[in-house]
Amino acid sequence: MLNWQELTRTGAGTTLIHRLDPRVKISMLLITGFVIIFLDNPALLAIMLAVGAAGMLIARLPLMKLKVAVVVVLLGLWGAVFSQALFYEQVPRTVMLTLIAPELPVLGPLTKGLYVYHEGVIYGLRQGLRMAAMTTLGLLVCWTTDTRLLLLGLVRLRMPYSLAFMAVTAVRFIPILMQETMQVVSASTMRGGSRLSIRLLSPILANCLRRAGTLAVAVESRAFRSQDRRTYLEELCFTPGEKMFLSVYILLAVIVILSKTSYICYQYGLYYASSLRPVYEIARSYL
Amino acid sequence: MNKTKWTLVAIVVITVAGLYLFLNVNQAITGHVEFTGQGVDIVLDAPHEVEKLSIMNEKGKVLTVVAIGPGLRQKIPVFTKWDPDKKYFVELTLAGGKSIVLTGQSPAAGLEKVSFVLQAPYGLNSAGSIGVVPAGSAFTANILLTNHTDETVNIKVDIKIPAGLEAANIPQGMSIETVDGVRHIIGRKRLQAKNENWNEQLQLKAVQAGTKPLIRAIVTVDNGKEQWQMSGTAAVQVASVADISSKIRIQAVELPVDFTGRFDPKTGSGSLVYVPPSRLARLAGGEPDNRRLDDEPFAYAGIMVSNDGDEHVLILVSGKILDPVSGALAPAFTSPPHKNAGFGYSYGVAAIPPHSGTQVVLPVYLNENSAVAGSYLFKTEASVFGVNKVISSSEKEIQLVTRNDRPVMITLVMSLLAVIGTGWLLWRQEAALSRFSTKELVTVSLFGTVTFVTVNLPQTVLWDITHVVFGPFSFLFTGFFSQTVLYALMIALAVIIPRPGAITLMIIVRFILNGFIFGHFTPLQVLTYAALAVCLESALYTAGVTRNQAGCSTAGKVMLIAIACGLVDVVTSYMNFMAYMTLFRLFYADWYIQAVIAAGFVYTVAGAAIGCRLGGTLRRTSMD
Repeated sequence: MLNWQELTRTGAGTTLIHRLDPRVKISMLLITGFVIIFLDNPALLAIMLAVGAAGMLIARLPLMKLKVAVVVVLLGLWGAVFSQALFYEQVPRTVMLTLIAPELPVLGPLTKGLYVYHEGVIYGLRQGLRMAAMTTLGLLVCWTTDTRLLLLGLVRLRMPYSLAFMAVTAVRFIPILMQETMQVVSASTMRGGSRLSIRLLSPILANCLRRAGTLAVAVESRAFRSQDRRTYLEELCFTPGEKMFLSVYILLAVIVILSKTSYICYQYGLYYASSLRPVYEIARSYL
Repeated sequence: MNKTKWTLVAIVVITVAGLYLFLNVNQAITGHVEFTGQGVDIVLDAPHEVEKLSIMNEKGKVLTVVAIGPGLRQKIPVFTKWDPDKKYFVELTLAGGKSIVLTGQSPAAGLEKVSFVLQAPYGLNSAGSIGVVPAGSAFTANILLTNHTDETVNIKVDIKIPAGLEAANIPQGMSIETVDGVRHIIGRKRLQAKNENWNEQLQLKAVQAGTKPLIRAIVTVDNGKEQWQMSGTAAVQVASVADISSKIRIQAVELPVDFTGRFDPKTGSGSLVYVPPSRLARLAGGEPDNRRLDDEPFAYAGIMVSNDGDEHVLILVSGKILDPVSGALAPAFTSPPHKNAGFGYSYGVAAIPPHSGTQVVLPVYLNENSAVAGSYLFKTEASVFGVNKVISSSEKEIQLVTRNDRPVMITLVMSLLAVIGTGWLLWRQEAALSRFSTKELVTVSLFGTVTFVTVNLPQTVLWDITHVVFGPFSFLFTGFFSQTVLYALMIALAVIIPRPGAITLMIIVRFILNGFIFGHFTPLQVLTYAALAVCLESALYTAGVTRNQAGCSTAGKVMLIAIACGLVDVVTSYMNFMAYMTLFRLFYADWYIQAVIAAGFVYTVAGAAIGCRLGGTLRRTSMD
């Protein structure tokens, strides 16, 4: 059984990755999210996935979290591989398995035959690397950063405080809600009801609404929203190394995005400059 | 605005204007006029689409007007009369209405009265060069006589067949005569009009390898007032096929090149990119691209053939695009029936000078109706012209990349929605959030948690597992979570807190939770959640739920809300597919997208209806 309290417990560690400023991590995550969209080279995508995996090992994450990460990544990869194995649209395509023959009544004419293609499996695996790399990096950032610091980082990156409060409330309530959901499901099962019924939402939500009232009173009694500005016990401060690292990372990302954008503009016939031909060549061959 | 803002505005305006000027700088169109026996050839330095062409004399009198068909042109031959040593103006009207004027000075002496060309083998144009022909094979010699005067001329051609060659086939009207043991091919013809020509092909057979026979032709011309003679010679080297094969090879194959043979760095060697006509440009009132499916070449292949021998060789080069698995001609790339003699593949002839290479440029056709992206094989074969034996061949893997702009456009629309939504939130964040009480914020936050636990969690874990069980029809199962439960919760929240923004806040909380737990902080997630927030807020406001707090008091209202939510799901699901296709380069079959959307509509309608009822029940609890 998945231990949700353990899974949602974050930031417990003293490794270099744990100590990084949350703003650096959030920025890296968002920048990587943009950069990865521009990348097509499977080797680069695999390297990014490997970097994320190496980061998890360096951060000495608990085995349970590593297992969860592997399962989530593999499920994502499986989804990409399976969908592309079926829907691969390029040639040549080698049929490995026929799922639905075109002659099959109803489904045959609807799907025009459904096959598992060998080339689609490989293509899905390559494209799945993109999602896997992002998921790994996302999990690494979230599991190595205390939720409180992550929210503080978001606030410092201009997220409204009320929204940050809502997010932290939501995070804190996940284990409680999971527990409550289990109780409602158990109660329903004991009464001979279904484990999977939309009717279960009603008691769960009713409890939530009662909690909302209590919590609202509690936070307002602690002067929540009484001032426009609020102070924090901890303040975030970039170290020179973090500043340097983030600057280099942003610079590299800008170079990749500009190179690939110029190449895409060229491909689409939007803009071409002969002086940029080396850039096009690099973007086409290596990115 | 203060001074800084004005400065910023000025910088932006100057930058935009500078970019506009930089990108729209008019490139000069240049070319020249060549005077020929039939008229003039307009030769442009680069291909352009020319709509109309007018030729004028020095006095500005229009001599000829020609309407040109669609397609890019670099050389345009025009039949027209010209006088020696005169200046002529050619006005070209280009596509888009722009026009340029080229000037040409006609030759002072004019052209000779009758011109004579002897080619052996046919196609070998270089004067004084020697062409190689395979021993035992027949080859073609070509004669071309043109009358450049208005007078009637009588012409007699006398071609001496040397030892080592035999006449295999001669045209009608010509005869073979033996004079002093040497055979001659004799022919007579009267050319009565200007530019009338006499063109004949003679089939000769090379007998023995290692000989170098010299064909000599004497032309006697009589115009009734004077008589004169012209002569021409052509030597051929007879060699064995094995000898020729050892010296000819296909050196390089480049694809795509432009029609002059220059390599196009746009897509890299071996990559063909097919971009369908832009719908956006058409919608924006752009000009039609005048493309006629597979009638015009889609691209060109440049094949470099080298000749290490000491003589000219006439080579036939063919380029076939094959299915790499079956080895058959790929249907999408077969040339139209009226092109390339109906063979389905392109071919060309090149005379390759000794110790050099020549590039043969072959057109590549693409049937846009059957173009499928993927890998193909470009097979090139070279054979000596007239001999049915391949002496050199090469294979190159090529990639056809087809681009459909629909997913890109829809992803751009999604991005626009995300930018508008995020921009509005950042701009009005204080005002937007201050409208909600603390209890409402906590309620929204808890609804976000419930959504995450009941929708995102099962979706992440079950989605791929159900793929294994239900295959591509797993959406019939997962739709319960991703649509029914989700919309039930969102509509219930909208009923409890009937104000614009509550749904958006809940979606943001869900997004943050998804990011915190599963690390899904990707631009795709931002687009997905932003599109859902913008569309659903608009729909609920229009339906009256968040505008006048009408709630779900009647069955009609419930139906209206349910259908509005169903439509929102149709739009957002479709956008999600397009975003995945664009950003993650994934493929989805049309039937699959349609099935998912149709099922999603039903699930959503049900979910929204349940949400109305759930919201009504919970509203009472929230008021406790």
